[in-house]
Order: sequence, then C-alpha cells, then structure tokens
Amino acid sequence: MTEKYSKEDRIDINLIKFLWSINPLIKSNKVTIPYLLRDTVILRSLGEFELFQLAKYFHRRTYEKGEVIFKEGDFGIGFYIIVSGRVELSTERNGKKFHVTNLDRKDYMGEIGLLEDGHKRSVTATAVEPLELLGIFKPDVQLMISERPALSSKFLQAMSELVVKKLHILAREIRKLKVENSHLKDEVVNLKEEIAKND
Amino acid sequence: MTSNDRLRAIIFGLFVISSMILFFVFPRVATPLLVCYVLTLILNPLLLFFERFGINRTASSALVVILLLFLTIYPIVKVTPLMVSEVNNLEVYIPKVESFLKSLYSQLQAFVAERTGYHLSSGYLLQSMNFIKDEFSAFVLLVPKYLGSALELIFIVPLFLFFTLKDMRNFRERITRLLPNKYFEKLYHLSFQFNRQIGDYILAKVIEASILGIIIFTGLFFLDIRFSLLFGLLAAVTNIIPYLGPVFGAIPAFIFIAAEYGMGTHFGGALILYLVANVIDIAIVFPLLVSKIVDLHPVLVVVSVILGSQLLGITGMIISIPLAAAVKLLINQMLKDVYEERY
Repeated sequence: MTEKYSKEDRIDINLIKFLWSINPLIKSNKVTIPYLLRDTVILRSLGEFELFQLAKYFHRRTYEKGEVIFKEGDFGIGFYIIVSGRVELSTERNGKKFHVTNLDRKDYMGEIGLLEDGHKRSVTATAVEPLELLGIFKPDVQLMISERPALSSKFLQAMSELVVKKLHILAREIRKLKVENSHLKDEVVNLKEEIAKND
Repeated sequence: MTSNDRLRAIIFGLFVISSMILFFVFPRVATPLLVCYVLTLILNPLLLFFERFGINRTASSALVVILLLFLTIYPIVKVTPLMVSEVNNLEVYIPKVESFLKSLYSQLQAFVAERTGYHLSSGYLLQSMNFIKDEFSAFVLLVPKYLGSALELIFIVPLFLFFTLKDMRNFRERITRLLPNKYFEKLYHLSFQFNRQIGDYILAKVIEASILGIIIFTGLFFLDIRFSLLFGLLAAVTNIIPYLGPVFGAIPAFIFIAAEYGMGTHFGGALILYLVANVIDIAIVFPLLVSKIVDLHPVLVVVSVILGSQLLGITGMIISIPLAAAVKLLINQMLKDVYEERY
C-alpha cells in the first residue's frame, strides 16, 4: 500500500455488500439476522455495519413445541436471542418442577455460558411454542477475537454490561431479602415476647 | 427428542458414517484431503493474519498456498539431489556394515560360548540380516510407486488446499446446520477442540522434529561423519514416534559409525551429540511445545501409535496421538455426563 492511498480510501467490498443488503427494494434472507440483532437491547451500542459483521458469527436454530434447548446441569457454551416464539425457564428440585420465568421475542438467555469456562446451566429452557433462536457459541467468539478484534471487544463489552446489570439486580434482591429477613426476625421476637406475656 | 430433531440426528449420523466409509474405500482421494485438512488447521492463523490486512478470503488463501509452495519447493529441489547421492553412496557402504556386524556377532558368539558353554547359532544373524535386506530391497522397489503418489500429492494438495482454506468455514456452517438440537452445543464445542488439538499437535510435532533433525545434521556435519543429512532426516522422521522413535533413529547411525570409523572419537562425539539432542528435545522442546497440548498416558500413546500405523501407515502414526487425545476428550465428556451429579 502506498502512502497516497490510506486504508480508509480503499473500497471495502463488505461495506458495499452491506449497503446493497440494506437497500429497501430487496428483502433478502441475509438482512434478517442483523435486523433482528438491531432489535436486541443489549447490542444497541453496535453500529449497523458492525451488526452486519456480527451476524456472520450467529447460528439460526429452530425448535419445535416442547423441545428442550438446554437442560439444568448441562454443559453450556452458548448465548441465545429469541427470534420468534416463547421459552419457559424452569428448575427442578427433588423431582419437582418449578417455573422460573417466560421469555419472549427479543429476550436473551445463556450469557454466562459464553463467558464462564465449563459452565453448567442453572435452569432448563423449553420451547413453549415453535421457536426460532439466534445462537452464538464460545468457539465463535474465539474465532471473532482473532478475526475482528475491535468488533469482538465491543460485543464482549455488551455481554459484560449485561452481566453487570444482572449482578446489580441480584444485589438488589439480596438486599431486599436481607431487610425482609431482619423484619421477620423482629416479628418473631415480638411474637415470642407476646406469647411469653400471655402465658 | 421430536421427530424433526430425530431426522436431523439420523441424517447427521448417516453423513458421518458414509464419509468414514468413503474415506477408507478411496484412500487416493482421502489421503490428499486429510493432508489438506491438517494443513488448513495449521495454516489458519496465517490466513487470519492476511485477512486482518483487509485482503479478502480468496486472495489470502491463494497467498498462503503460494507462500507454502515457495517455502517447500525450493528446499525440496535443493535437498533431493543431495539425498539421492547419499542414498547411492549408501549402497557402497552396506557390505562394509554387513561384514562389521558379522565380525561383531562372531565375537559375541565366542564370548557367550566361553562364559556359558552355549553355542549361539549364526542363523539368527543371517536371518535377521536377510530380513532387513529383503525389507530394504522391497522398499527400494516400492520407491517409484511412492514417488508416483508423492507426485500426485504435489499436484493435488495445493489445489485442494486452496479450496479447503477458502471454503472451510462455509462447509462447517453447512455441517452445523445438520447437527441435532439435543447435542448441538456439545458437538460444536467438541469439534472445535478436536480441530485445535489436531492442528496444534501436528504443528508442534513438525517443529520439534525439525529442531532435532537440524541439531543432529549440523552436529554430524561438524563431526565430519558421512551421511549426516540422511541420519538427520532419519532422526527427525523417527522422532514422530514417541518414546521408541529416538532409539530407532539412532541405531542405524551408530552401527554405521562403528563400522566406518571404529569405536573412536567419532563414535564418542556422535554419542554425546545424540544424547544432547534428545535431552534438549525431552527437557526443553517437548515440555514447551507438545506436552501442553496432549496429556495422555504413555501406554495409551504407544498403543495409539501402533494402531494408527496398522490402519493408515505413516499418516496414521502422525495423526494417531491427537486423535487419541480427541477420543479421550469425548469419552471424558460422556463419562462426566453419566456419572457426575447434576446439582
């Protein structure tokens, strides 16, 4: 490369492909993945072109009604975004199934699997209706780190923001529970005193 | 498992089984494909390096292939005539080695007879020497055939390599679409680990073998011992076999040196050279390069090498260890699933 033409001046084929793909007159299949990613809250910090590049690392998976996406205690490496359909998260204790929450379109799950080494799933995810997911897995992220370092650091930043957000929610819950717990303890003490008086 | 997913599982299973059968039925296509697959795994970082400069995938694949051809063809063209002349010279020296071994054996016979009164038959020596001679001549007769297939490889491998480099990702994407949902994450993860293990191992082994070969070659060259190139190459090639390889690589060299130069300074120098080279290999190169990649029990290593050589010859010998490591990975994962408590 001579000094006359810097890197910015070169024609980027990928950029042209991208511009062609967002052309409103065509609606090819390729556009749909970035389009979906754009709708996801956690990836807001990424630009259009970055989403277009990121989409190449995602896999599209379809599930039927009642199919299990991952099971509690399974080895997990993937992060999923729901494209269409609904997912039920549940957990099992002593053979009894407990409902945790339902996830809808644009929701996501499994981010810890992407970050933690040898992660075990903490809940079971089941498709409530016919389901379409976008999944990205640990090997994809490793590939992305070596191929597109800037993009991958942005993506991982988004992931860590997501995890931090969850951590905050968790801390708040714990705080709330602690306060409630102390209230309950006080009440128990009061009740005991009252019982002692009545006796 | 729903019906759709079961269908996926069946199709994927059929795909795996049929490709394995095709692989063993058509070795002439399978061998170059296997070589290309391994080369792709090894060269992928280089491809990524080119791509990072904004060169597209097709052009970078072509660049990698050209670079590889440039780096390998020139040494081959330079070294081959030297090797041919050394092999030709070897024919002259073989009778010398033969008579040396005979005299050594008669000394041993006398020694054993004197100490134990048992007379060793000279049939053993003759038998084993005839065996080696037959094997050697059979090998020499087979050389044109090997050369023919090597020539085929030289033309086919770069072509295949270009396309495997260019299209490996698309191909992998198509295959991942076949994976059944139930096992998707596990299989995807395992396939990546498997690929990394094979690629890393073979690259490490090639580097290790070349380091050893170069040390032996230069050492023998400076000791002014004939056939230094041949013995260096032999040491490098046999180094691929773990544990026993270095011994196999050293024995012919020592027999020749003892026959040609006697048990004098040359022999001592070569002994020290082989010891130092193998100590460097065992103490520095192996722990740094190879042992991080595979941790297999020594018995498993030897067994897998034997099985590999029986099934696929030299190729099998090279890929047996990473394959065994990958299988171990798979089995460990399955055992974990079955036995480990879930909560």
